[in-house]
Amino acid sequence: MTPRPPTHSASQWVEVIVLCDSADTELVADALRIAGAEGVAIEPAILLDDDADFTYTERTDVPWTVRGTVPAPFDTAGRRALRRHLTSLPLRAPLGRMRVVEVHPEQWSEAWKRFFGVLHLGQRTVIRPTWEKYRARPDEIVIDLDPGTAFGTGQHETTRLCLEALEAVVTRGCTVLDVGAGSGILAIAAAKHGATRVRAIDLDASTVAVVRENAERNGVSARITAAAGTLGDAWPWPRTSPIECADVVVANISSSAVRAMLSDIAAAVKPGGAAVLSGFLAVDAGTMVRAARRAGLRHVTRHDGLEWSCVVGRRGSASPD
Amino acid sequence: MAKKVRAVVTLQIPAGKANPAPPVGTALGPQGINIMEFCKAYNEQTKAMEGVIPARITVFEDRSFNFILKTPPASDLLRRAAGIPKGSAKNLTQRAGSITRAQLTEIAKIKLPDLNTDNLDDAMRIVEGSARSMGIEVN
Repeated sequence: MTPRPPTHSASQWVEVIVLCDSADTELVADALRIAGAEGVAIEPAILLDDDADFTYTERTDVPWTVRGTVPAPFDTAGRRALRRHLTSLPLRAPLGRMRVVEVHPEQWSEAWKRFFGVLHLGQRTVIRPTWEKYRARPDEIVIDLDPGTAFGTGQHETTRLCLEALEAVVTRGCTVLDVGAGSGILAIAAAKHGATRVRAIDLDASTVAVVRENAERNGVSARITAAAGTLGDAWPWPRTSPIECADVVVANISSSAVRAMLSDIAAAVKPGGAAVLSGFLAVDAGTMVRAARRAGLRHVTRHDGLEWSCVVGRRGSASPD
Repeated sequence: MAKKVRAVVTLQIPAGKANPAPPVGTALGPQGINIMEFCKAYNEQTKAMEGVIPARITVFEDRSFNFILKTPPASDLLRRAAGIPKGSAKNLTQRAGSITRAQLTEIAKIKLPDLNTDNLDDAMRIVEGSARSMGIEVN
């Protein structure tokens, strides 16, 4: 009879968790390293403003968390030495309780994938992580995309709202400009919906390589050009020449960024074309609709999700409509 | 609450040696971000560096993320400058080692971007305070 496999594999690691003043994190982290931690994680207390932006404020009035992972077993003598060391440090504020917990063994390189599966967005847009299989319906477009270092995995409501809007406004043979492209998910969707020329720009230069890689993976790299910059910068924008304008301009950024660029965005839309704007909360959508009208967009409609919103507007035709 | 940032964490790990084991796995796994992608990018950016190079990671609501490298912990720089091997700070009240004022200036310059000051003299005072707390003298 073969022996039964063990039902529980012993942990190789313990995690030492210390709560401390924000000014003391470096000293505590150093103490954990001396105690044998091969790496330390410092988690600041953050205040997430409700301004729908990519920013946050670090709070210094509440404790921060410092975690050190020490190879198991972390015996009593080791724990006692660490406690002694911590109490000897010239800290700004008294430490919170130190906790030592066993780290449950896990296949870390694979575990994160459970958060991602095949996503159905809009009527016919599918996001497929590369490790998943999916058989598409004839009318569906499938975007192969693994989450990574740029915003735009398909999991955020603003991405979903933009993808839905693109289904309606992108027509075969049209041109598209994606402002704040992130992972390139919207640019790739536009290309797969039939856009022949898509330009994707982002202030973050590191996303350019991500867009190119994702476009390549999806077989649309010939139709997508990526560059770092913003409107009027990556491609100096000739407002007077409609040739360089796009049939569809999509910008999923933040309320402040979209509002600041709105007149440039509107100017970048070809007469008769559409602007798709998102990245702001539904409570701010009314303001955005009015700003879009002031910027010269017509037939402005808002599409609210649970918390976020997307505003779509058209630029008037060259001939009176 | 509607937001785009899900979490922020700074990982202090050895340059070029990120792997999915803890603390990277334990810190980033529960956030559901692509751990292999982080390791690859971190190791690439830190391949020519030495010692502990912290990475400040911002995890977004859609589980994408970005990170920036921070300056090494002052303690790591001081210990390396003083030639003290890692883990030998058992007698904190005793003299653990010493560095020169030039080395202190060098470390203060490295740390300047991450300190709450633009003034090098202030930065040197901060680093000297850290040195003192570690039993490292400045000669």
